[in-house]
Amino acid sequence: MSQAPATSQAMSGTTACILRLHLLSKRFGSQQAAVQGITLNVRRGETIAVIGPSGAGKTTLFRMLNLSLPPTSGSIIFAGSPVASLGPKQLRAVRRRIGSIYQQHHLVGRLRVLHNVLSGRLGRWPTWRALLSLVYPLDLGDAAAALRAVGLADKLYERTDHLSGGQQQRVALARVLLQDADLILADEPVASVDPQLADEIVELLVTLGREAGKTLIVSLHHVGLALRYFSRVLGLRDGEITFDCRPDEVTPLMLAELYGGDRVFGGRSRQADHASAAPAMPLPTTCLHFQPPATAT
Amino acid sequence: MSSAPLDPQHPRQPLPYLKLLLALVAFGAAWRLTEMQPSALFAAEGRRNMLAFIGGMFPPDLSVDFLQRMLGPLLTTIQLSIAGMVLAILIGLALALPAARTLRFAGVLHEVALRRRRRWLLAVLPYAGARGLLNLLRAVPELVWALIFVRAVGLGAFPGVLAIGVAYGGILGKIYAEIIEGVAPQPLETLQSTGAGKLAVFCYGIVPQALPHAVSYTLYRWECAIRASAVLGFVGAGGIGQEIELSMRMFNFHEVMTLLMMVFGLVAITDLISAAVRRRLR
Ligand SMILES: Nc1ncnc2c1ncn2[C@@H]1O[C@H](COP(=O)(O)OP(=O)(O)OP(=O)(O)O)[C@@H](O)[C@H]1O
Ligand SMILES: [Mg+2]
Repeated sequence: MSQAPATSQAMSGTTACILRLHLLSKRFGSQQAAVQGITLNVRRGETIAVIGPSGAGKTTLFRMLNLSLPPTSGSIIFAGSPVASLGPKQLRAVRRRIGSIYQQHHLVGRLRVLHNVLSGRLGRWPTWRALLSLVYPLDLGDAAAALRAVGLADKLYERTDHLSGGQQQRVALARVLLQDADLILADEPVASVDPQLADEIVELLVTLGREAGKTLIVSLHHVGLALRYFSRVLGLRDGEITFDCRPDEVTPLMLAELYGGDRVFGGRSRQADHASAAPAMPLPTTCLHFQPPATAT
Repeated sequence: MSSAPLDPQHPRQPLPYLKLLLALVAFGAAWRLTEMQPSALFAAEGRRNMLAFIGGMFPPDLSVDFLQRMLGPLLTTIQLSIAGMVLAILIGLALALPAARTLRFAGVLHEVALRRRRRWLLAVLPYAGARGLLNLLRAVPELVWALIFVRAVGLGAFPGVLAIGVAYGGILGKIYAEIIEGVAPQPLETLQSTGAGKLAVFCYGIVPQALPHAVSYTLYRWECAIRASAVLGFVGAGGIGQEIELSMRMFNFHEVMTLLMMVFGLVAITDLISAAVRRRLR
């Protein structure tokens, strides 16, 4: 209840930052922390690519950012309001403004494509409209338009689990388009599509985002895409940010550090001797304090 | 990784065969305590009685007169099982919703929101109550429920409906709750992340995933209800069961055979229906 004024206050005050993370950490059970001590400011309209090896904590970070997973410690401030103190209603309101595409798309397989796409509207619809729409689909034109934008115009009435993996991922993308969120989080949105299509989808995401003034945070395994389309690139490894740069500032050495080193296959093992082995590369490397580029291509 | 045991697939398990041993001991004890005597089945006396019974069943009584008289009880049994199942589904749903952990306080729908203590208690209390009630409904056998309701409302099909409704309501409620809890959580997380409310997440995420399992299990229970209604007839709850009991008491074993064939036919028909429904639901 006391958060409402805080939000409006924030709108006037810190409009530049839509998202601020302070020492954000997540630990599952007694494992090594999956995300540790991330501090980050995200300006409105920025397009950020997050790259890093498997197990670096990208998915965990995204799930905290879309308010699905509570952090172990640290804080998330979305549009000026600290999310930890939000009540259920405000939580819903904030979630509505954050659109997510999950790595494994996580659609409801037994629903038709159109309902999965229209579920992007669930944050805005009152419950009765949500239920009515299952019987008599509402906003059908918008759903069709979103599907057309991702090249799936003919799949509107198909059952979702009858689509291929890449097609399902595009359905997830269409859902986010329909949600019309301020911040879009996409975790590996092109993991299961061919390179050509991956290129098109990332471009679509970035251009749509830029036209509508959305903030974009996208994790990618494809470094080339990250460097080509985004205004800022974050390297994430073992739950920590190793660099935070404009794409043209990313050096091969930084990438080698990010992916290489003494990583045990499938494991997470950056330890003390790693730092001594690579004294040239103190972590994290920060070439920050840059201006958001006018056009980044 | 470094601090984990060398072989994480096989955490220390001192006696891998302990469970098997325990199961064998339990089986042995059960054999002794229930005074199992398979040989009694084949002893002269038992064999003679059984042969008389089975022999008496042939040929089944297929006279038009008898069949016509049994048409009423047959319909009663069908109606009893359907009305009982409708009641059971209503009870089951009403109790499954509070009894499903993932709808109340656990899992992805509550990760972030439910940290305040009072709210947590408010969610757990109905859960405990519903689980307790479900256990109570299931602990009492349907035959005992039938006896109770015959006392309460008199002879006839109505106590049978109540008995099946209450006993099967307990079973369905537990299964429904378990099906709801077993649904894949990731699509629910996705739906929730769009800002969807609880009811919308339920209808878009849980219902589509749970429906096929719930329907198929309910149909199986319907089949059980038809068989159960035959037994419930023995205590005066109407239908074919009552006729079986009467014919048994009159030593009209060939009529018993006809009636059993009717039950068999009913069960076979429900099986066909549920197979067809399951095919459509896939
Ligand atoms: N729900 C969970 N329970 C326990 N541990 C988890 C859970 N989710 C993630 N982890 C652990 O956290 C670490 C980071 O996982 P995460 O999925 O965030 O990595 P990622 O960067 O997304 O990897 P990938 O590129 O392979 O998707 C891993 O070591 C993983 O085992
Ligand atoms: Mg991941």
